[in-house]
Amino acid sequence: MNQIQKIEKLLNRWEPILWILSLLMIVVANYLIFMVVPNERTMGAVQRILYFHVGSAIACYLAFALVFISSVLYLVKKNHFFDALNVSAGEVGFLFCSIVLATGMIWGKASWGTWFQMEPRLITFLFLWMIFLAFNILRAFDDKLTKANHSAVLGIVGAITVPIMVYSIKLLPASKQLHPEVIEKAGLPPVMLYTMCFSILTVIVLQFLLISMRFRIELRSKN
Amino acid sequence: MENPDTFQALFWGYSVIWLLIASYLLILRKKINNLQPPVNKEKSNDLEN
Repeated sequence: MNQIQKIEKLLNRWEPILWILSLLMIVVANYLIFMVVPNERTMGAVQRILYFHVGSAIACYLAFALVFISSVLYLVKKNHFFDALNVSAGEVGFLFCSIVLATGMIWGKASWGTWFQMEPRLITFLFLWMIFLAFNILRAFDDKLTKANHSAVLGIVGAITVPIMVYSIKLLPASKQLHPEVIEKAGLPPVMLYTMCFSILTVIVLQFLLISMRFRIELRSKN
Repeated sequence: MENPDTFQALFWGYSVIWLLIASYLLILRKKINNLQPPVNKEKSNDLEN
């Protein structure tokens, strides 16, 4: 049994568990978001976007951390296993990055009256989204022999943008920015906090399922 | 104080989330269907012999 067949066997064992777990968690998370948590006073119903908006943001940071690790390991070891992991995490990370951007804009329009504003956090996040858009375009159109190297380098550049984006919010005083710095300062009531933690966990489980599915496709296509 | 009516934005927000995830799952399913299952080299050698 070769290495790929061993990985396939492992994925065959874990994927059904991840499917069941993520479906159950999605049902429970939606029940909590729409049936249990009360409306926020100033923003109203739209504040419920927070639960999946923050969850998707954390999922995308995790995916980009995986891109960083697999990119470095690919450049050092030149093993296609790491390239497959790089593609999978980069693609799924981009999906969650797009979700954060889209829900953030919809939420911003409803509560701040604008889709987008030129402020450090929003600009750096858009920049991150563009880097991973380029990463995925590169995977689709670059030369077969060089795309693994090119995307590993671009993956490292993209992943380095994440901490810059996270700390960019400190560049301007909070009063001059629309995006809040940290959630704790807003003082979420316990029911909202627990629902948010559960939603974050739900999105992370879903993310691992998607990465696993994409990883299997990439491994099979390489053989 | 009454809550502002922002239900429409909430509807669009969650529609976008599930639309993107469902579309990606469909793309993955299409890719999986286009791929051949992995060949077990030991078994295929046995068959040849």
